Amino acid sequence: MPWVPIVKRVIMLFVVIIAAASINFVLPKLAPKNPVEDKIMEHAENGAQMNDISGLVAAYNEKFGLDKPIMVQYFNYLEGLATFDLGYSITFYPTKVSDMILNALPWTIGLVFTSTIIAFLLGSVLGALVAWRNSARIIKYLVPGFMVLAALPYYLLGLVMIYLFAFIWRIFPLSGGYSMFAIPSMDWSYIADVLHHSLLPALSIVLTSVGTWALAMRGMMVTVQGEDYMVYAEANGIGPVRRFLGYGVRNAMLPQITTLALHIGHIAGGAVLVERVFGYPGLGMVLFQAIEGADYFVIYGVVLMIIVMVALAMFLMDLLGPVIDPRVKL
Amino acid sequence: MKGLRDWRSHTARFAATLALLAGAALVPTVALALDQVPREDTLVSESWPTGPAYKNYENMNPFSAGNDLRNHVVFTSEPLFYWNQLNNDVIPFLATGYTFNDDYTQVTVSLRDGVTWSDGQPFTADDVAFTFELLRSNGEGKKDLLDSTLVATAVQSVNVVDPHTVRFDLKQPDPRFVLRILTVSFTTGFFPVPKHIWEKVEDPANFNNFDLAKGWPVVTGPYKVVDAKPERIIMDRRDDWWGTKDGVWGDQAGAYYSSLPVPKRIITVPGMDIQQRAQALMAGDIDWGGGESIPVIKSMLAQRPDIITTFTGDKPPYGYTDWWPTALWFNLGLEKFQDKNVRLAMRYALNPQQVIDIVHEGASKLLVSPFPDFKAFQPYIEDATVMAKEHELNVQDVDKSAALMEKAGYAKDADGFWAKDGVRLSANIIGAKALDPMGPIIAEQFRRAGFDITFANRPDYRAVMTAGKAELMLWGFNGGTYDPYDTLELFDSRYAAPIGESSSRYARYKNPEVDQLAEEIKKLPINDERIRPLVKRFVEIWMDDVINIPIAQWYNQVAFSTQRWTNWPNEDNPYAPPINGHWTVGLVVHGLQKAGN
Amino acid sequence: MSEDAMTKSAELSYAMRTGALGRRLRLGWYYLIANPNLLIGMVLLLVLVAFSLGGQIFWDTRLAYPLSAPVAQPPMPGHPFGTDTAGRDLLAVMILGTVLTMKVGLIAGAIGVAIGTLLAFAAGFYGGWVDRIVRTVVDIVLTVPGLLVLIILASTLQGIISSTSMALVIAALAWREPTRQIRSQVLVMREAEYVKMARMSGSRGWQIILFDMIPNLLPYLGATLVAAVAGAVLASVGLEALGLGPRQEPTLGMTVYWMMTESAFVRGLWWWIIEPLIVLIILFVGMYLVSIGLDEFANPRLRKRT
Repeated sequence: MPWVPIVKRVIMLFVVIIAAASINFVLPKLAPKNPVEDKIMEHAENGAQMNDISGLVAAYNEKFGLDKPIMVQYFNYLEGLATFDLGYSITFYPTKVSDMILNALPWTIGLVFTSTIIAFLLGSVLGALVAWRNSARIIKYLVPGFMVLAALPYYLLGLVMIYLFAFIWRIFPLSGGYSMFAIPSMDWSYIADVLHHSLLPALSIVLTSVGTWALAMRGMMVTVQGEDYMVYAEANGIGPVRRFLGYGVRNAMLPQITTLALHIGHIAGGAVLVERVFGYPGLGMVLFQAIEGADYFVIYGVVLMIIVMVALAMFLMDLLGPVIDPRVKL
Repeated sequence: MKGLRDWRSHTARFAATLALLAGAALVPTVALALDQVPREDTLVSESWPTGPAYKNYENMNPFSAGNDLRNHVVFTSEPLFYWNQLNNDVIPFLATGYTFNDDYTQVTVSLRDGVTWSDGQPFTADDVAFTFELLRSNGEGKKDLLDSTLVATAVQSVNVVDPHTVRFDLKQPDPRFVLRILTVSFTTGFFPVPKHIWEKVEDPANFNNFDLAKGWPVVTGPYKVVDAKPERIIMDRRDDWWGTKDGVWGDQAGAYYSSLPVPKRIITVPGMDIQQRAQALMAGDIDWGGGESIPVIKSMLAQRPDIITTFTGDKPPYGYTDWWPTALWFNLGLEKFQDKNVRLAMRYALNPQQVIDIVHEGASKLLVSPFPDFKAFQPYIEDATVMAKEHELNVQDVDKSAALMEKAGYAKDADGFWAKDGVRLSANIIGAKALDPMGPIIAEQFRRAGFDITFANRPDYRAVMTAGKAELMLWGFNGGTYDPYDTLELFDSRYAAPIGESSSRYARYKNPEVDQLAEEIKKLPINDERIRPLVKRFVEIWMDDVINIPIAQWYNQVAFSTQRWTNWPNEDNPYAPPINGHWTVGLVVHGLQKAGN
Repeated sequence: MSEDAMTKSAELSYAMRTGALGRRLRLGWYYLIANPNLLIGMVLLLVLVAFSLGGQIFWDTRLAYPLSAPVAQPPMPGHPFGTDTAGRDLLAVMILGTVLTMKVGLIAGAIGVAIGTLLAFAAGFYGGWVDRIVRTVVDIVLTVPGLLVLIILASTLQGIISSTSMALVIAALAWREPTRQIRSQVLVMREAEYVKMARMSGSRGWQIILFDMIPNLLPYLGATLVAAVAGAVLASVGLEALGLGPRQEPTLGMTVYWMMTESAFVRGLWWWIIEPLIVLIILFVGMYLVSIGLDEFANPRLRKRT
């Protein structure tokens, strides 16, 4: 592997991360509000007696460094970034941002990551099969169905499913990640409960994305089948299964995996609506509520994670491309 | 490290989930350390902070701005006094009584003998003095404890007279001090903390007060926290609670809270959305939900009449009056609302009864005064009712509205909207999320009368209103509860900050006469005869000046499930405000009975 | 679609781009028959357009605002689609909502593709440092989560009051994907024989772009536009469902928002739930099928996505 392009790519990685992180710093500051004030006025709305809030606001502004010049805040932010210190939540002080993320992450991974992978595998296999000349008829009918579903945003399908399965037929719970009364533990009843709750949201993600993966895969397989090496492979008597997997799927897979990497990077931020519709306690909700409350440090923490994941995913795919598909040059 | 541990446990849970999803199948069974308490002995209450997960679940510091006491503190802690607005009762709890001196600059509070903390230490005047001194000094210094400035502006010093007597020296005559500071009602007041723990805390604002191994939080109440997770907080009954000791209640010996509360365990779960909550209640997952809307309560009563009930049973208004009467507020700092004729014209354009009919399905009351419909306010509301008729409050009259607009120099433009010198009178309404359903209806009423008013709420409405950048606001009177003073104070001129500067009183109203009236009322004790004419004058100004447009009384519509717990507070037995969003839940827990007994 | 049909459609699309007008129209018809995705998609969209245009002629759309009808009524004579809890006539809401939602999508999508085309040609055709900058910028903005940007823009702009300002907010992000996609097409095309010929014959850069490259890219730009419009509608309905939309206007997303906040599920107001969902489903499926169809038309052999 040549070194110069790799070094170049690494530099690029850092440029993208720092630039994106800087945008991330500026954006929430554009919203015309003060997180501390907002938090305190929330107390007032709930019925607390508020006399002089300016003292408390000033005290917390100082505590969080929000009274400093914006450039100082920016350098503090970059410093925190470099040392992986995400600081404290403003709204839930003294809760640490890292704790909030770690509490929500397993739910997001369990739901969105798992269903993305399932949809990816299912979609790729279906797409490959539908493009393969000798595959069963049923698959050719199955795929168009998924493609129609792929047109829908997953939260809309989620709403339809909630209506049918949770309201009309009452097979699945309306929302939440687990039963109200379930005590988290490692026993089967709890796991079954979590699965029961995750099935509808997971289904809405899987059903709406299988089609997209299948369509892309079919396109690639059609292209690959026209390649000369497929003809040689057949002429050399290589069996259909080996041709399908070793020659067809393998070569068609690369762009799929690149897209998958991007998807996974965006998982944390991209599932807000599905989490909201299903009342699921994941990262998307943490981000959404932090934006609502202008909880800067939580926004910074979550978005930073997304930025690093997406940038790393793109970077790794650039590096791994040649390994999966030797025709790709770095 | 703590975070890491949590992360591991969550990851472990999900590793299991992943394994199942992937079709693998070996998961070890781990027993839970907690005792299993049967569901029939458990009270499950939906907490108010927005779900789907608690973020500050390990914060048990009652003075932390980042905490929400409703998750746990209110079930485990006890105040000096409770106040129940439903029957206007002050209920001494950790205290037994108080006396003011003649000029209301000193109050002596006697404390209950025999109260102990959950770690066995006695509760004494030292703890009370420590708590209020902590708040007072913080309110004068760092100001980073919640509402500490409230204590600092009122209290000069706190003095221990003897182990069961504490004396507060006040900075100015303050006849409302006990109800204002020493009493817990709604979401106000303070819960004393143990001196022997807190005196070692260096930075109280940064103190979580949570360590199960050390038995923290140390409390006086009949429950203690045994587990706190993002999903729920579990509190178990302390059978050695001080309140069961003989003689400790003195004259109040017959009171129902002199025995242990019946629920053996209380679980609070993070706030849900309204549909989730309705289903959880009907399915018996939770026993006590937060606020509901009337249509939802009605449909719950129709679907599960066997277990769902409310404060007024299955009859309207399905709840009880709360403070916070609803009004449409003008931002009086804005040029376009300076003209009283315009404000009055807008009042005539509205039809509050139609709003009530549609949004509350008729189950609310028109507002004739700026006060909640509490027992304590009845004389003032009586006066206001007469005046409201004279002022045609709550009367829609589009012709009068048009005449007033013309008087103010407006004419209708080509699109039929009021405009002056080519500038249309346009405004947007924002406001409390809970009032959202009213928005489109009010905007439409305005539009039909020729006012170019829109409703477009935004998630950061509080910040926008605080900064004075809102135009019209759907908001409540967060004023007086036991006495009109706080309502007058809402309109004090010192809050009329210029647009752009923060102010917690959104009206930004300025009127020296109101300031004067407030000042006079402030000196008089609660329920003093001399207050009534002063308040009458204030209400007249409020109507005359069209400070805001009243819409409706605010009700707390709460649904209870009687599947496992009965004897919830109701109209005939209003022993406590029956809402889990207020800090008086401790009283309710003492009143609950097991279903079937 | 079978292999045969695909080969046929490839031939047809080639002929369509080179033949005379009359022949093109005839071939266009054959092409639609051979390309059912495009046909079905267009029929679905036409049904919606006919519904909303016809509806505006035959139905009083002022009923789409509150207080126009008895509240929360199931479909009945006079209000065939029923009414919602604020007294809006849902037929009028669906008619206006379809137009408004499509409008938001079209404005945002068109702006996005226009900016994207401009940037893509600047980057792909001229290359060098321009390309490097455009690529880096696109890489960076693709890393920042769109929701964050949209919510913050929405609240910085004093709340979104009209559907037009909503469209502009969405347009602020709608150029990212088109730029990436069109750029890679331009890169391929730059190496094509006829572009090389044009260059050698001394044509200026903008002439080549305008007269040689864009005409040949039109079908591809069309497919990109439909995808961008669909993306914009998706974003707008998403923002609205989160309560960040123009609440004064009866768009489809706002209907979904009100339906959710007014507890239509618990209250059993089924018509309020299914009507906006059905319209949205037709809209999304229609746009999706048209975009796939155009994609095949533009790019019959090479279906590789970059």
